[in-house]
Amino acid sequence: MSKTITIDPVTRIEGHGKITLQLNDAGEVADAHFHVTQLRGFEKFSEGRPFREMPGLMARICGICPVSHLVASAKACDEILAVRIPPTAVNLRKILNLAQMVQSHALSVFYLSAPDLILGMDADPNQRNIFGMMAADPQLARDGVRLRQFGQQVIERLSGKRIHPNWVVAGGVDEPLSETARDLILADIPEVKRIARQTLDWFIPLLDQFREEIRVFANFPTMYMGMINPDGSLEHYDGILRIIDADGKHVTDVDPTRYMDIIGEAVEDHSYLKSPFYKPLGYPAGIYRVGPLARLNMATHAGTPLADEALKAYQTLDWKERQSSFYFHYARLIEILYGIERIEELLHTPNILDKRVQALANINSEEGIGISEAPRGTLLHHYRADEHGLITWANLIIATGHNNLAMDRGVLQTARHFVRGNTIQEGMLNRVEAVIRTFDPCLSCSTHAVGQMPLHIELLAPDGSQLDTVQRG
Amino acid sequence: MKLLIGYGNTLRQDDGAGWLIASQLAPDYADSNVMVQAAHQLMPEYAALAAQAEQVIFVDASATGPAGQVLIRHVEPASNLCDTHTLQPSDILYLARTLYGHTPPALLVTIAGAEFELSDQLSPAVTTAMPAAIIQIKNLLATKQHQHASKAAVSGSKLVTNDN
Repeated sequence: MSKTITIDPVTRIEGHGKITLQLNDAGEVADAHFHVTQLRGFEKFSEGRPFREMPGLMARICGICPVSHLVASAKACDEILAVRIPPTAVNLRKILNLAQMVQSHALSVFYLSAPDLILGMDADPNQRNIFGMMAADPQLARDGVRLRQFGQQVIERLSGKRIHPNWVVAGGVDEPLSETARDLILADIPEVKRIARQTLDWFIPLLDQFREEIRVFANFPTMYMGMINPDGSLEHYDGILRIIDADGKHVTDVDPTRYMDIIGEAVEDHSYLKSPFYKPLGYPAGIYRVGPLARLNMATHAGTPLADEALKAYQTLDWKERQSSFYFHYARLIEILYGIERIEELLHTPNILDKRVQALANINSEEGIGISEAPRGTLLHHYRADEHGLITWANLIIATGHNNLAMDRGVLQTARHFVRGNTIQEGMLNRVEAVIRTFDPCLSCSTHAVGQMPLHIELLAPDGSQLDTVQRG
Repeated sequence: MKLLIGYGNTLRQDDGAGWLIASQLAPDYADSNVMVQAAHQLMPEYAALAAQAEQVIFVDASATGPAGQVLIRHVEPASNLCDTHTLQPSDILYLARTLYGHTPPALLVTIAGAEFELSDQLSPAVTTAMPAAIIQIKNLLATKQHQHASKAAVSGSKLVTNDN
């Protein structure tokens, strides 16, 4: 008799989701799905709000990456104002966005995934947590804490708040950067740059211990999408929207505001998370991935000295191996290094302390599209407003959504490899969760919910009856 | 340096009491040896700050007790094996000791809430209790460590004061 396994909640992710594994009569995994069970609805309840409220309102989507929403939303509002914002404001927003990426990546690698990496996928779950990891490798834990603290401090020094800052506004930023704040950030750079470089030295030798996971953790050909500079270097605030194919070949470049030409959105009945796809290939053949793995697989070079070296080393890996979502972790560590170096460069630009940081205007356009690269991938905010500036329609495509199809397939691939029989073994359960963690999904962001964080694995018979279930979190 | 961390969700009514107290106190201690942090929730990086402090005062809302009741307790390091979304003051002290080798004396000030719905308005009972809670916290910040210790010894328990 076939059966279904449910993992509910999936732990050590941002948001609430569950996994179901459908087994056939032979006890092999026949189908698997990642379900997002919370609904947030920001697209709907932003209707009727003044557009100038949108950055602050959208930042409330998430407590981990509010800055990303703030930036993308403000960019959409810049378009409604139809202004070109002061260059200093652009650079300050870039610094904020990069600081957000550093702290978010540090959280993902060191707080959420390091317990698996340090203690092993089969370790006792009572030990395989942040406390167990810290006891096993306190120096690595201190390094992780320091990197996250740095990112948070940069956000606070720029904007006055670590979470939900209101500093980014339509037309620019609210306040210029002070000399004191700039010098305090610059003073921390040498230490965190050294730490970021060291963490790569820790991670790369670990890869040999996870060859099996690398082989089956969402390791299949997909396209990749992300923003990039025309010269092929990393770009997280502006740039062109590029898609490459599963062989790494260029498919298309579009102006980000033309995203609707290439991205369609499908909805599955098992999840509140939308499933975007590449329109010319249709659904679900138009599967693509975004985020640090996509950005690094697309980039020819990073654009900063140490990150260029690190990316060059990453590019020596076989292209097919780099299709494994396990390499999201590697990509995050390179992007942390890049983020720190780029923040330093931006803080040394001549006009960074300029007082002109906001373009003042009223509504000049009834539509605005704002796109940025959030830690988890390409983030899209698209608004329409009436002549009074009240929002009449909003569309949000969140990084985690872009990866939905790949996460779903990744769960199936991982489960088929590791799951056997009618009962759930802890190591199997953890690996199925761990493949989701490689994507670092933020479900609070992507479903627009007041809800609980934590996943649920459910083992179902072919007739749909529940045979076994594990609930954690 | 003394460290005050007030935390909670200001969009869940009384749950935000700790955050609001920290925000109100921050300007008063801008140029002092007291570092004030207003936080949505406790995160591991607070352990790095706690390890540098001579004393930590956590301020949080409580879901138990008569609305507006202010309790002050000593906190000891302990690992509660929870995730990073539900860290407790004792976890922060445990991390400070494990990672940085130092655990400062710490107090937890709680204000019992009455309403935790989706709103940024405190309940009347907590609104009324806030000024007295702030005065108590200021007194704690002005008090020397050995005085806390002797009060605890006199009380014979971890409860230092209990005021409504």
